[in-house]
Amino acid sequence: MKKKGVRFILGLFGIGLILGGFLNGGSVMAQDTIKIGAVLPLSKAAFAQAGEEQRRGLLMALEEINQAGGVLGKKVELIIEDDTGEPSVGIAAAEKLLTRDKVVALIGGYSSTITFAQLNAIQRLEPFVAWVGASSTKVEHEFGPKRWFFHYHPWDYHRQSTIRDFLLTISPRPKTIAVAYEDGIYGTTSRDYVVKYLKEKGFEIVFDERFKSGSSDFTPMLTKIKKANPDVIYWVAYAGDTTLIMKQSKEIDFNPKLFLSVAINFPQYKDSLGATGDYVGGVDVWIPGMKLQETVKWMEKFKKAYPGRTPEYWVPLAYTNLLTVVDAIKRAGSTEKEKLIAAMEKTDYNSPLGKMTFKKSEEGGLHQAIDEQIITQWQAGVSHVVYPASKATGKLIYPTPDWKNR
Amino acid sequence: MDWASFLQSLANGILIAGLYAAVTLGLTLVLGVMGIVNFAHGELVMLGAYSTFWLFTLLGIDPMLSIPMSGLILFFIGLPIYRFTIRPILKDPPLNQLLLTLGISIFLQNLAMILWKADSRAVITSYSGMSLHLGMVHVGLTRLVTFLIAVTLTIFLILFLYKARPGRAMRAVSENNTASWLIGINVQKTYLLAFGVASGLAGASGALVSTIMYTFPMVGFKLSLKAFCILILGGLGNIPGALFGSLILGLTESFVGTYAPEGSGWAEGISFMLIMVILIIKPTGLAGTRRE
Repeated sequence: MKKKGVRFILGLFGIGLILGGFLNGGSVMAQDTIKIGAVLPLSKAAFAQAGEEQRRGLLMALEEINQAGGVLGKKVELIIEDDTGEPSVGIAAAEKLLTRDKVVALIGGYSSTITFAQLNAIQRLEPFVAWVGASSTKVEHEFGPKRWFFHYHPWDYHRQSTIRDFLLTISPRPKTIAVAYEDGIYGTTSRDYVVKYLKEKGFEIVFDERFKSGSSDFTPMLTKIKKANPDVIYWVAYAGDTTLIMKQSKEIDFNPKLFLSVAINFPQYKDSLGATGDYVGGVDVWIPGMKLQETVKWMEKFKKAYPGRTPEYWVPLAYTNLLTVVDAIKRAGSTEKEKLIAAMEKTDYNSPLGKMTFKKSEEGGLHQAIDEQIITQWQAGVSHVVYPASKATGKLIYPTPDWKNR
Repeated sequence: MDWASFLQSLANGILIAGLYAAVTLGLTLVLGVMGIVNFAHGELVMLGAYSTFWLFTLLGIDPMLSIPMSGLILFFIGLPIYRFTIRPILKDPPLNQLLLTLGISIFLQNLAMILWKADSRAVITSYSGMSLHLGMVHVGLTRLVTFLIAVTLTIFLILFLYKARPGRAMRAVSENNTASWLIGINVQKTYLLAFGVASGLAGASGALVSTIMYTFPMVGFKLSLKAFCILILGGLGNIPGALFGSLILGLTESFVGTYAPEGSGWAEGISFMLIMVILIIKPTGLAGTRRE
């Protein structure tokens, strides 16, 4: 009886496997889609906000594309992998998308450090890459000249030259600057450019140190900076660090004339800081309040898809990322790499961030999409563009009132 | 001599030590009573932080009030964790115990990530940024309260261990569990209670983490690394030693951060350098083990 039972079960297993094989085979044949792969940071705390924002943008674009019938008569399949904030995992994810899933384009990206590691590993495959992340010029120097690499995000010098030009417009001109930066290549490359640009124009750097992103306590560093008494504190960090730096600056009563950072328009900024976040300035790519026609139209779509949310620039950027790639596929009439590259080079697309075309960039890049930045400042819980004058929606408040006077 | 900066550094160090001590208490208790290093302790702190966040976001409960509530919630979460995962391996080789608690830690981190995503969550209240000006020194209100609560918890724990019956049972069991059993102490119940209390302490310290910092699934991991450093500094299983070790770590991080060149970069890694130095010089920890 027992032996019979065992054989019966084994038999069921066997039939199950065979049937499974047929079913899979069937669905493979029906699965004729155009595969695009994205690697995003979805689980590391310091990066996850931007990663999630990108995912929302990609999904918005994917739905639009597939509802309109896809491209070249097929639906677009988007495969998203999580790099977990680790270069080794990012490499594995990119390799998997290119070699196992055989995606026609690799998109997404965020951290400069991880990007550098990934591109290093996959360059032997010469894949078609339309990359949204990375601002460190280490990436530009090494991979910018590669014909298969297309890059959207501004490079560090675009940010830092905007910071310099902005500081030069402030009256009375600030004299002393404290620079604090996270110790990955995002922070160190930014610091190298900003220190160079500021020194050239006669600013005095009174503090210049790195810190570990994700620290729980910045009070020792802030105490040291307070001692140096700078007019402006400029820090390069990720969202979680910025939250703590502002909270702890208030705790130790540190009152520079201006708090200045990078990308202070992440969605949780207001919720995490409240009034403590006011008067902080930051260099940024785009904010929802920009007055471009495409922005206004896109914001309507966003509000329908994600009611109650405020997008950071990663959402429209990722949205544009997928749409421009699919647009290139359409114009190329094929997913063949050489034709894709040629079509991508001729991109002329009206995106919510403005017109997208690919041009050469200053330090060796062949295909760069965005090169202009803005400066925003939080005023009474609203983010205003305060520089350049042509795009401004508000006036800079300088100097920042002391904590006790707010 | 810049007194203002020096005193401020001193204050910063003492205040962060409060948070570290609160986190380390439960870990010390479990190690002292059961001899097990609970690698999942940090995740219990993380769960406490999330419970405070959700109590605040969904029910509007002030984080200071939710300290005992998060403590209680984690006490009840700790009991089944002990019963179904720790108890079966009490007599196993230390490596197995280590692997098990590490496994629980990874499981809880990933569970939190799936349930609540990896975005950091902050709790801000009307008094969040308030700070007191004591002469030349500025002391953040929430940090000061955290420090006072940590000291209070330590005192209560010591009183519990020396005056209360179940507490004294815990001390007896940690010294010799066979003899304790022989004189009628229910060793299993004592272990269960100890783990529950330790989890409750983790939950309460998680509430403090949620107010001072922000919470995300990996916050427990980072804090437990510091807690291990404190264990070694203060003596494994030594409760007052935990407070003492926290002060050393907090002050070292603060002074290195403020005074060492490139100090801000070094400060986070100091805990590891301290661990290495102390293990080489005095392996039982600066204050000695309870079991000495």
